[in-house]
Amino acid sequence: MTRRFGPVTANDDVDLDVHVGEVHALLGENGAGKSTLMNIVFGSVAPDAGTLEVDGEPVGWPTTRQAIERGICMVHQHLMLVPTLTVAENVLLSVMWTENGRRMSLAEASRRVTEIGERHGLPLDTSALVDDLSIGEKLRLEVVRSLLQGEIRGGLRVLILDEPTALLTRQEIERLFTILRNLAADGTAVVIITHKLNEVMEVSDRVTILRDARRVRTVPTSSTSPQELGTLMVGRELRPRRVVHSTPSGPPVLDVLGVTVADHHRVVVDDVSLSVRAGEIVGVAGVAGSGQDVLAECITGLRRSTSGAIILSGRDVTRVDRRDLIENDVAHVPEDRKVDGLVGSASLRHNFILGLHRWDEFQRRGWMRGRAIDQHAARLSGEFEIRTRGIDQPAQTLSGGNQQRVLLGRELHKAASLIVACGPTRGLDIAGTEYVWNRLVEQRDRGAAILLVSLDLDELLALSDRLIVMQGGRLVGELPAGEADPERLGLMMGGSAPVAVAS
Amino acid sequence: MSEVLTEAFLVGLLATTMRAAAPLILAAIGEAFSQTAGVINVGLEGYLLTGGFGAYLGSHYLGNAWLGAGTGMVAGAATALLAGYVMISRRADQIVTGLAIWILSIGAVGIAYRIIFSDGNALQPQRVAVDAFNEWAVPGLSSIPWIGDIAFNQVPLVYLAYLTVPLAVLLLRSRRGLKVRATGESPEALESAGGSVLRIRYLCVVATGALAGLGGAYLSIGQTDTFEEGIVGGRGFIALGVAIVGRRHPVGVLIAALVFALAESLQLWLPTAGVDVPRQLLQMLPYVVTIIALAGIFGRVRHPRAFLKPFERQA
Ligand SMILES: Nc1ncnc2c1ncn2[C@@H]1O[C@H](COP(=O)(O)OP(=O)(O)OP(=O)(O)O)[C@@H](O)[C@H]1O
Ligand SMILES: [Mg+2]
Repeated sequence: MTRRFGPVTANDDVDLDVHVGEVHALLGENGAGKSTLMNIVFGSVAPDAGTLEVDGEPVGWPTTRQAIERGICMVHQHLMLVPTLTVAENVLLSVMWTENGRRMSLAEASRRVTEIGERHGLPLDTSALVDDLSIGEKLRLEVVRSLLQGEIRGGLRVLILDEPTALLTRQEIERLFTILRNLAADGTAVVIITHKLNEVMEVSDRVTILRDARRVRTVPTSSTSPQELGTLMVGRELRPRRVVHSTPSGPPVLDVLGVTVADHHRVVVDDVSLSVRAGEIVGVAGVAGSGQDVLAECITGLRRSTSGAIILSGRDVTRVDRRDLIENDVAHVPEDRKVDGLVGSASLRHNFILGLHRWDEFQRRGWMRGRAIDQHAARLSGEFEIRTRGIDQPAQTLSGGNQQRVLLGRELHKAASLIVACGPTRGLDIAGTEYVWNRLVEQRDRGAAILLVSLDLDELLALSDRLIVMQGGRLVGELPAGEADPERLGLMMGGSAPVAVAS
Repeated sequence: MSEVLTEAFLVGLLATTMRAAAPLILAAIGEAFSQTAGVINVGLEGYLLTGGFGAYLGSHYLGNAWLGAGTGMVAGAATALLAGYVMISRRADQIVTGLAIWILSIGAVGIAYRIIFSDGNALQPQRVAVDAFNEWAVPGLSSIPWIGDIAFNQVPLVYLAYLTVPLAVLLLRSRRGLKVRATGESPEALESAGGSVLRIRYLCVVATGALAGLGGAYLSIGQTDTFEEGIVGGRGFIALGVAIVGRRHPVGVLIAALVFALAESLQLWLPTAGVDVPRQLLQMLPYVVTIIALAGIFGRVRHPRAFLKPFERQA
């Protein structure tokens, strides 16, 4: 397959074969062309050249509908659900017929979703609005929808999952992997894209590595190692990272005092108090939807708390404008970059100064300083190794990982006294993750207070000097870095462990 | 005040309201679907006009009111198809396209009317004979006191208009309806589910045109048997308001259309009841209600996420 986007070649004569009954991992740095290749197979992107065969039969370039009819399903990197429809309605949208050619009814769709959910341990409330689901539940819905599609077509031929694990907790990932292996055993060819080498080792039978739009190699997983995969992917050897934890003693930069947030009369953050000192990274662990994201929104001025106070460097900022916060003291890497982080249709140049556009550096008496803005954008693009055809490129046409880099570049450039980072490496490749981790540690050593909210326990354990666990909106535990391990955290997050509060 | 509310006055007022709501319902119910799919038909006024003229023309040459209504629908649908091509396939700005279509319709219908129906080259159109619809009293129902006179002694197009409401409710609940909602809310999701955004949008827009064409037919050969260029009189724009205020739901559209129609009918009936209000003020009434409604006084209306946004398939 070959596919170009203007001057950018996303896929350059890439060959890939996926066998019946295997889980095939697709590995590559941000912008290597993984999503593009899979979109071609699913029929949502047309290639410039290449052939596609299913079961040995050439199929031309399919449309999405033909792909689905052939039993090819895809769970996209950015989930493809209609937020204003219910779970069952979203299913009905793509699963139209039952196996005997009758129209699927809403009631039947609901029933079968529930049934598949029970069988595979993927429970869903079929009458819930998709908008109200957590991101993990949305992914669950996409998977269930594909499974149902497969059931109706007498078996899924191919299931493609584009970075599904970026949104899931450890337990959810394990459940997903079990399902994928069962599907493979039943004769489905499964393709999974992920940046986590341990996940590749855990779930896949073979791995294909893409680099710079080309295929580097396809290897059986059993004959390779994470080190070798890393080297193949990046083109050089990766050094294992080691973060030295710090034990700061300075005054707190951030004090959260008894913050409570009610959303539609439901308490989503319940009387949370915490503090972060200068030169300290405090990690917030919790399953998705435990209130950590809402708390982060309060601290960064995106949302007002119902009660409680937020003190930043001795100043009460509970009711302060977000603009005041983010222009000066607070850097914010939001959870959902598409909604709160970037303006998709705007160029990189403008995304790089979003929120900083009142800085004297970028404007004089209300007139934007074009040259300074361009230089800023060019410098950050280089520094964060963003794969782009230029600073004019709209942010939404960058690959997912590159979008994240734009966001990080802008926020870390601020040298803020407080950094609130929510899933800062979501969707980043290994080199990118390593880069961001180093930058965050660098910021900490510079004296920034960092609140790190993440679903990724590895990330939390690697970076945090202190860990806080949230569950159901409440703070249920606190651990120094030395005492935390994945099992203990997992249990605390699930609320089934004796809560240890370190002094 | 009490002598104003006589039986004759009330029955007359409500019967007129029933009638006046018919073209609004016909124009707005399709529009509600179009908007749900993310496309606004600012040129609705133009669809009504070409529909009204097409019906007049068809009825005159084919000599049958029903065939006339059919040509009206075709004319409205063709106008909408043109607008749809520009908005959907060419991805032009919907508001600007709509205004252009409206102005184009006025020009095209004006010229055609003068050329076709003038003697010699005076370009003074003459009245011609057309087969117009007659009232059809629904057997049984029309003899119910009050109700019969209000609702069941109308021309068939009025019954048709009200019949579209339950049909539209069913359609909205069907899978097609789901697709329409998905198209307006997340077109990418519909495409990745194997649907076609372009197909749904074209269907919605052309159906809007056909229904509005039927509404136009009511204006020319339903409530009268003549045509004149100002026959639509802003009803297309009022219907845009009806669709939005009715929350793009058939039942909402029905209620909103009746409210607007009541405003229009009061203007006719208040003077007969001896209420002394300047005529010009009364004539403003439906338009004032439109502005109040659009300003969000009756609650804010949430637009679909892809409202007004052209869709481009990755290719
Ligand atoms: N619609 C588009 N327009 C322009 N360029 C595009 C478009 N889609 C993809 N690209 C470019 O093609 C290249 C490959 O993108 P792709 O999304 O396939 O990467 P990826 O391997 O999935 O990366 P990631 O891990 O970051 O998701 C990138 O350089 C990207 O900027
Ligand atoms: Mg990708």
